[in-house]
Amino acid sequence: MTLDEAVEQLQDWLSDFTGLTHREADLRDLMEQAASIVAALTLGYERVATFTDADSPGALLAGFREYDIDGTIGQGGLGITDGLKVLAAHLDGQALVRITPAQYSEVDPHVSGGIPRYWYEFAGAVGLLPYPLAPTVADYELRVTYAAQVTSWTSGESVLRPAHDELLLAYAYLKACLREGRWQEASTTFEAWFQQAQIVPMQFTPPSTKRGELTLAPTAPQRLRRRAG
Amino acid sequence: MMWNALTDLRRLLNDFTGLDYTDTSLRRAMNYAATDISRRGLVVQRQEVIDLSVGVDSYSLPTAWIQTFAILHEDIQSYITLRDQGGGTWYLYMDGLTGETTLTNTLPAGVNVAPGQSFYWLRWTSPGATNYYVFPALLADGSVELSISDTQPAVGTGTTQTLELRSRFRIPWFLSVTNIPEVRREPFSSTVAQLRAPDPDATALILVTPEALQRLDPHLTSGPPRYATVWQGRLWVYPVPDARYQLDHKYFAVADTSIQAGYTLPQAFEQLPVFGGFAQALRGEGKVAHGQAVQAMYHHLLGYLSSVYSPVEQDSRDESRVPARRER
Repeated sequence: MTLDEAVEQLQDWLSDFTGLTHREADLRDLMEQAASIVAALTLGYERVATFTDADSPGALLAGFREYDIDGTIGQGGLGITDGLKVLAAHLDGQALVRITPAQYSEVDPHVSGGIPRYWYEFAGAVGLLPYPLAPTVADYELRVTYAAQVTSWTSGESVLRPAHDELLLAYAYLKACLREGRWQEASTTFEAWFQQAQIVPMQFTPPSTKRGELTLAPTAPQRLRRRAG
Repeated sequence: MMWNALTDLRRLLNDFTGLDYTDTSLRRAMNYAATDISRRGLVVQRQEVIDLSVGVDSYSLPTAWIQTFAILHEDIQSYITLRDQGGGTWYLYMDGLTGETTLTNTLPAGVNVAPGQSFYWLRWTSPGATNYYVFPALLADGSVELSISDTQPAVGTGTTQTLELRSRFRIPWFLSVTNIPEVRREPFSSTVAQLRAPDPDATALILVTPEALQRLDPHLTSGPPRYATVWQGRLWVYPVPDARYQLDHKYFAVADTSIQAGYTLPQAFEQLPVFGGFAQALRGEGKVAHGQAVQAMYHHLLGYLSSVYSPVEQDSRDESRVPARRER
């Protein structure tokens, strides 16, 4: 869906073809807002950043545990300026296991430095455990999959998947209804939109092989069996 | 922010010219919502370095602190002193060391940095509270050069300043100057130092309740802190530190707000205060039912978004998580 198509559709829904109630620029602004919040809710704009020593020297630093996601590469940063949430991390094709900082000493208390096997995210930084030592800097490739924010949509196609089109339109319509004081319609639209916003991400769940570590964490069936046992 | 929250709220209220609402009142309403979002959603994550002192078991918390998420025990910091000996010669003194020693220029096993490459930075806080950044770089001859990214600090003749070569909490090893090298005033750089291996016991502190802290092993009177709790607005560690340690304190904070600058929330939450501010304004206008309807939208969005961005969020799609201890 292009922005022009979206605006036309909105005008149709609002029966406002001449811009009497909503200027076209306002509707474009609403669609941009919609893209931003839908991307945030669904984590629907997935991007990948790859760091190799040749392309981004110093992305992984010897002895460096935490990397500012939007920081400068080579100074302890990953240079990702549009990140909302990190979804997965791979080192040389091997998926790293996601932990929380509180599990730092739980996973492997005896290892400080070496080849990273775990990662966590907190306060805009990605932590690696064990922290990389020298061979990692030169020899390994770090791949970070993250949900990106939609920073702008001023023309052309939406960067989100076509399945998000309805969500984008519904949110813009909801805001337009609120502006017009159409409360009942706004409430009904919100309800449907919010429900759909929670369902759409599940339809596009990447396979676990993409996000996860397969050998160290139990799979879902294993967990279920354990619970059942 | 790509859209203007204030303009958006004005459009929702049909008050484009400020007839009913001043900018200040709308900003205040949205800031109130931003504070509410951060308090109830725990969406603002922060971290700070806490320097522990020998024998001191409680420490103040940041003013914006809401809840501690994790505390990592970090490396021992080291201090060196920068001293003007007169005649344009500067000396570095290692804290606690006396006498001149010979520089060593070996790097620990596993550290492999290309010559000339700055591989990490250190923070230097002068007594005037100015931050300088010190970049060590390995030179071709194997020595380590310290270069300061900002202007040379104004150190008067005969005065002493502490040059704190402290590894930032995310650096597991630190630079320790084990001798007293001579450094020149112009340019202020180039010394040789030794990199020391990290404290291998760096670990996460166990967060306990104040009551539980009192029941811990009474024989552990002092040592590297292993437990922490928050009580009466302060952070308590146990055992009592027997040396200088650093803690990496990760916590949830209240959103920054100001009438002039507005609010600062993570990008994913930026549109929420508009809903919160709108609901407040509607209630102020006596449109209670409408205000409640918008408030419900705000609550739904806050609840869902905060679960999506929670650091402990259980993502059913993510099979990579380490299972909780009880599951193992």
